Amino acid sequence: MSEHWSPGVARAMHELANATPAAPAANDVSARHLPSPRRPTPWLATVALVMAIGAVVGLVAIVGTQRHTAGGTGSVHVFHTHVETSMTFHLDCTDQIDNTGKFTSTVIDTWSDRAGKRWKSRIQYQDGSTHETIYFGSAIYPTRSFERGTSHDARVGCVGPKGDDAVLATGPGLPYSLSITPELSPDELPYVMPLSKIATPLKAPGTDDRGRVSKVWEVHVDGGGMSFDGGAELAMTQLQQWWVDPSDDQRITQRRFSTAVDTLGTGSFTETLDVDETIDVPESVFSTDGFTPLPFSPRPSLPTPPPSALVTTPPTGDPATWRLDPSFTVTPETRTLHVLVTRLGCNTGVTGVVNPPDLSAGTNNVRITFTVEHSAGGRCPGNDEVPYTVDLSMAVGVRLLYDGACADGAPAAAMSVCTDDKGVRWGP
Amino acid sequence: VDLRDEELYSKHADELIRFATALVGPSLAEDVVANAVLRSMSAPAWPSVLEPRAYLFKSVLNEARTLGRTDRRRQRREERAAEPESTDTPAISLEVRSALAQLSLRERSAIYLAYWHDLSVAEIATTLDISRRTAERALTTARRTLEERLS
Repeated sequence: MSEHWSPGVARAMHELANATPAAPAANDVSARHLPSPRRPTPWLATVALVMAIGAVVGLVAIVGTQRHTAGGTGSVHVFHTHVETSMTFHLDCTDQIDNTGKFTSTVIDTWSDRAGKRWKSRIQYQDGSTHETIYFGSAIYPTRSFERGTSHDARVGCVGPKGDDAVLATGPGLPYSLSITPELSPDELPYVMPLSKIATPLKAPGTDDRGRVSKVWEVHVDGGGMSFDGGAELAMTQLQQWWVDPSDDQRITQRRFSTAVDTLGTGSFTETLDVDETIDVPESVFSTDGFTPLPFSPRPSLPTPPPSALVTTPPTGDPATWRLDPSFTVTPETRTLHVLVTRLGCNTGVTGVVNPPDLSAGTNNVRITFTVEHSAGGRCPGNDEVPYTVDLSMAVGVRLLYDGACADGAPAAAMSVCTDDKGVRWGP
Repeated sequence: VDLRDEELYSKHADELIRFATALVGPSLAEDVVANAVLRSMSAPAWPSVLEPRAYLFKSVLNEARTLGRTDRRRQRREERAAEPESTDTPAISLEVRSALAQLSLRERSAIYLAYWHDLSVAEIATTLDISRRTAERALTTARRTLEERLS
């Protein structure tokens, strides 16, 4: 059972896990006397003493050669998933990416020891070869990671005259998880958005490729362009879909990522969950024998700018909310945003003049709060959207873009424009 | 030497210490596990236990309850006297400790087993030897309390 937990629960559980001491050594156990309130009766105490000595002698023997379960002969409680992946495509180009020795369908197993902070993924290809990784410390930003085998994931797409690749579908890469959010610690959550923050649920239920009735979530990215081989940008449409178990609204059973690029064709990658279970596996599953250490990649961070660089004083005005211009794509390198601003209050459909926004940047988010010039008010059709360009004077990085009108107690906090996405307009 | 006990200790020591940490905190977890293991393996019924892992988990919970009764007064006295930086559990913030203190041992057990072991309500009920309804209530209360105090 994979479950979504609130940040509060996750924080408490992870702080406890971080504080967990090593299990008591056997000689510590042997030196121990049972507390008096529940000490057994004398005859039982004699039996217990004999048994305890026997047990402790055994424990000393174990610990002498094996520190708890770290030596490789114990077992560990893990969350295991078994997933099948496949790619489908239709390419209109004549020069296609060479996929000799690569595969468009794979089988993936994952083992998550969340308490021990260890994650393993194994991709198996159709020729029997495998590509495995083991992560320690974090599923996203590991402190140590290891690899065995080589990726044979196909990359479906076209090759331009100058040799550039346009990829329309590719394999999942490693580490792998169909639903990684439950694996994360709270301080990783701002960097990895849960499904409910990035997608929209469809009203009608659907079925996944295994025929399971599902709630379907989608993200459409329409109007973007793919730069290809130095030519003109090609119109691109992307659709990401998740099939979710309706009984808990959290368990993802299938995901599909489809891309269509004008004149090049279409490609999609689908991953379907066949097994998710909590099982005991040998400790050796997480053995790194035969694995190669991977270079350490520190968790991304951005220099914190001096406060004055990103903080302006908002003029007085009427409250407004904003969203990203859908024709504009944000990347971590983006320094200028194109947004659409809407007056919150009734004004006969007119948003009016937009004031310069109030900007404040933190480690995990950039908060942008708009106001518009004061108006006496009017009738209440929805107001129009006014385009506005926001100069951040620094890169967005891996932070959330957050509408300040949605902050607790702010004018729009309880409105659907904020409750649907909690005011988060973009995340990495 | 009972090989079964050797294997059991080897297999479950780490998860028992994690469970105990969730119940009583890191400074007392070792004591609780050591006492629970010793008491379990000394019990006359031990050789006939069919589910030793569940038995050890229950034993840790019982040990935590016993410890809680005798230790609660001392702990409160120490908490009042201690400066935040002098706490013996620096990895757990005061906010989280305070939130956890609102939970009963049963509620802590339920949320721990659900979170780290992905156990269902039925499995939690079996592990803690309580009814399914009680397990569900404990889990719901624990979730709500931690969400309200820490989210």
